[in-house]
Amino acid sequence: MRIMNKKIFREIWFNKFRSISIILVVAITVAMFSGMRASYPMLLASYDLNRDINNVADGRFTFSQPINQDNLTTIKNNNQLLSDANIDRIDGRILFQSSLQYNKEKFQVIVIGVDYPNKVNELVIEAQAEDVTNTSQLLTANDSCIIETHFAGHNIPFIGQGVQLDETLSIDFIGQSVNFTVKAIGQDTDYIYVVDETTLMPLLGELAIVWINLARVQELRYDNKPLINQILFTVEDRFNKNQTFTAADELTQFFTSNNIDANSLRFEIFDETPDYKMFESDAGSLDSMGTIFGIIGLIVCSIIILNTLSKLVNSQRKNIGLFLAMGARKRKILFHYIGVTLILAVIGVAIGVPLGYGLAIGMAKMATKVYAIHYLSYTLPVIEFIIGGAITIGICFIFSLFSAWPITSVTPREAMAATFTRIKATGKSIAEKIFGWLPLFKPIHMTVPLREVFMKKKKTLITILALTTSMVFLVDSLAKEYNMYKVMTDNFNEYNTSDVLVNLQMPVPVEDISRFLNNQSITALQDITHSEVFIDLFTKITHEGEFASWAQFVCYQENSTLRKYNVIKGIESKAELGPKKILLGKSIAGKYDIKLNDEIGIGIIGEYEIEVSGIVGELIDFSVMWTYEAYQESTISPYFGMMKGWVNGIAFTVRDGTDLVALRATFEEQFDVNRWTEADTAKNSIRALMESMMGIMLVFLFIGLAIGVVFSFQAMYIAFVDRQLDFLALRAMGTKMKYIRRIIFWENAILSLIGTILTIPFGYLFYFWSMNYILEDKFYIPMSVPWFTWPIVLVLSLFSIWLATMRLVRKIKKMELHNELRVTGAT
Amino acid sequence: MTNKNMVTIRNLTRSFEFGESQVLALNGVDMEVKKGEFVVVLGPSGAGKTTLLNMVGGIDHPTEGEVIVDGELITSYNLEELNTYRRNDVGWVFQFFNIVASLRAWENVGLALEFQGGLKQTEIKEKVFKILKDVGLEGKEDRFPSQLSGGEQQRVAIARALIKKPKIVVADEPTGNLDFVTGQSIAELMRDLNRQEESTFIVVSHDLNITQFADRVFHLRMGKIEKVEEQPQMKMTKKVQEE
Repeated sequence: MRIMNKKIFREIWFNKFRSISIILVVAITVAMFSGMRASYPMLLASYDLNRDINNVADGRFTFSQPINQDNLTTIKNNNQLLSDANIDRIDGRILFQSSLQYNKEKFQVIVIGVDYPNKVNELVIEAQAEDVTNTSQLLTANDSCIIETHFAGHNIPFIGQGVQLDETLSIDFIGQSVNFTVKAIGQDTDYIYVVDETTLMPLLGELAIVWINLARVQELRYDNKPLINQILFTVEDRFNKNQTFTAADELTQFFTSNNIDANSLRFEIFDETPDYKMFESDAGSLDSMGTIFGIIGLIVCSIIILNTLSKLVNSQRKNIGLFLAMGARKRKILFHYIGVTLILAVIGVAIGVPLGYGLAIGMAKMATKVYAIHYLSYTLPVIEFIIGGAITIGICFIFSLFSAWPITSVTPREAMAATFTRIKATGKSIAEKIFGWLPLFKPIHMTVPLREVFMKKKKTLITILALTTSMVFLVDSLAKEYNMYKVMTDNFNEYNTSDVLVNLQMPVPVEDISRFLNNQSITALQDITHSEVFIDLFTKITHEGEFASWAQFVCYQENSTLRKYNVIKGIESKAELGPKKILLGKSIAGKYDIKLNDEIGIGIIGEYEIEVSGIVGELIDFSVMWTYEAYQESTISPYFGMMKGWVNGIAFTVRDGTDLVALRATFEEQFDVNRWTEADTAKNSIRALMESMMGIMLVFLFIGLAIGVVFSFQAMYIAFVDRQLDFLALRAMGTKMKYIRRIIFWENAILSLIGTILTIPFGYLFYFWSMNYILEDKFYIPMSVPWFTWPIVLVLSLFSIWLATMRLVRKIKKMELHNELRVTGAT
Repeated sequence: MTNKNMVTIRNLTRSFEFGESQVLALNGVDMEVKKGEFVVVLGPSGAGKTTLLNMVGGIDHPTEGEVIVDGELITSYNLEELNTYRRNDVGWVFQFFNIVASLRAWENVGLALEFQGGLKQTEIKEKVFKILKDVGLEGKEDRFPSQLSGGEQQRVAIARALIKKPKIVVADEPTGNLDFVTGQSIAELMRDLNRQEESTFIVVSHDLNITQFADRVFHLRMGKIEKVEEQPQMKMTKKVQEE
């Protein structure tokens, strides 16, 4: 091995602290960047795998007005239709929202009546009662039910109500309370997030899903009439969107030709169900977070390398001078130091890749546990690791080149000079003028920290950069941890301020609603403080003559205070919308390449041409949004078979302490309520969801804290390595350790103070940028970094100062003077 | 110079272990240095000069033997006591100066007094400016080390060693990093200060020129005192006169 190459390895071995810190930062960067990004496709693949295994529907029709079960039988017997529509499996069921009483508490419930074992959306039974001998007969008894796993609290701590097998639940069937015994705990892969279809909020553990015998539901809900309100199907080529849409078209034709109202139809394709969209959005956030943490890691990595290597080059000036004096080419010396970094970077990548692999699997496992997905797909995208490793090594190369570059401009004499960092000033520095009057900085030895910080500007700049970057990471982690929950609730408060949303089975005239709400004789209604009407339908969307998809279509009042739209592009006020101008959700616009000002066609029976005059960014922005007024002014009614002046939704706010159960009963007496959604349930669920995700959040927080402290400490520690001779001189003079400790502490404290001051604006900026990147325009982002972030940053900063001071003082104390003086050439 | 012994060294032995082999740097050195005396320890590289100086200067412990400074057995001191000893009783001068880069000339010197304590800032400054004048650095008190030549930096180091009026000044190759003329002037300065301040100087060097200023020269070879020459400068002066 060449002598200079041997020196590279010795350099690494003899400076273990420095080497380990570079390896560590590279490993963390690669692990975060690649690991988190790799967990995204892994999660999606796992989700699809579970959907495939459990035959989750490729498409599903929901009818706000129930249809006769004979329709399904006709379809099942029509082989020509099934063949033309490429339908493989088809099933019908009843799904409706009601309330459930368990343990003396009332919850919202989605009741699903099925012919168990059902062929589509097959249930995964996680636990069953001991007396059940044949699983296929789980729901044969009229009083048996299966309860959803999240609500039961079967798998995940923090979530759910702790429902046990053989316990009794009471479900409300239009005023009649009926008891059921829990015979099994199960899961439908279409409800991994338990997204409420009205608020589009995940209600894990708060919204119950209960499966009951279909005939029993028909008996209790529809007076024994053979009705169903959902049809689910799979196509021959699973997850094939063309086949699914073809099937949907064929079935739509069948329904409309069999006297089923178009405005009653809702169709959802497998990747646009509320659950799928929420899952995709969440997993996507994980991907974005991976990129953000990776970028932060890369910045920290760059600064640490810049800081460490420039100090290394500085501390080895005599060697460099000697090599130059011996006629070594500058290029060779340059590559020597780059070699040191690259070897460390390669080791870091080698450690980071398995770490990232573990992180990806760990996160996917944790997430699948939260979602209660049963099968994990281990297909990891290798490319993410190649990209992560290559980018990190590239960054290491660039920054090592940058920090070692000053070598190329020095002469051997300069390099060997005792004081490499030349202080050119002759008068007092500004810092001395400002701080010199303070008693603390009066003693001669206390001018050292001031001068080291304020006169060696380049060195200070790099150290402060390293400190600030580490602290920004810390602020970002803390703020994210705190605000992730706040973002959800604040958005709820900003855009959906109603306390209750009521979806009706059938449209009714606005006058009827108005008359009902103004009826002074109904006491329960006195608690409503403000109410509005809305239209909530489903529509097909066509773009440039081509069918794009189905989407939710909502129309709120122009001056609505209960539902605002977060318009991110286009019109500035809802008043600008008119008969020919509509708003479109960002996700659906992006998915089908629909741009602002494009013409689209909406409607079920035919296409109503309208211009997209605004793009809306919200939690799950797959909807088409309009105003109630524009709907009335337009000629769109026939396209949905819904008359002007009719609506199918009521939103309202209530006084604190209102008896919502009584209020609901009042509404149900007057109208056929399809869904009744209370905002508090959604908020509670978000809180529970956040708590269940705490494990992942804590990992981020811990990494943030560790990086903040460790690399601040590293930056401060490294700042002293080239000043060994100064401290040797002080030790040889018999200086008390308290003076040395004071010098080190205050130098670190000044650096840290400047770093912390800079952290405030940069922390804010970085947090907002990264939140924007992660959440895109889906959310209104609260403009606050929590107040406790700054004391925590300060405390951790002090902790880093203490660590660095103690470590340095210990090192100086442990110096064997005679040996160090000989090694450094002082004697 | 008085007849009182300032430094007494008895059977001083120091060995170093390098893996399995052992190197005997000092092998039973005996020597005495009178108060106010200026002695030079001369010898080739590896003779044990610096090791001897480290023992006297309180930087290292011997393997065997004793070093008594002004009646105190410093070889029995623990690390803290040695630190105090270095702070109050010894002035060190190194080959590569070892002055703090971020402190001005006067501050580097004043630091020694500050660490001792007991003086006000103005008193320290007054004393420092006087000694810097004595070592020929008048007008350069506010310069940083990087703004001083090698000889000037060594003068700062000498001033720093002497300002606390130590019992002994130990200098390790003080002219080793300087050219002949500068080295000569530094040696003269040390001799003058030795006379003025009546400090005891132990200078280690392999520079023969410095011996002309010494009261006695100890020749060290292979870790042992080979011979002792009395007042060699007198002999040299006589020789020059004869020639």
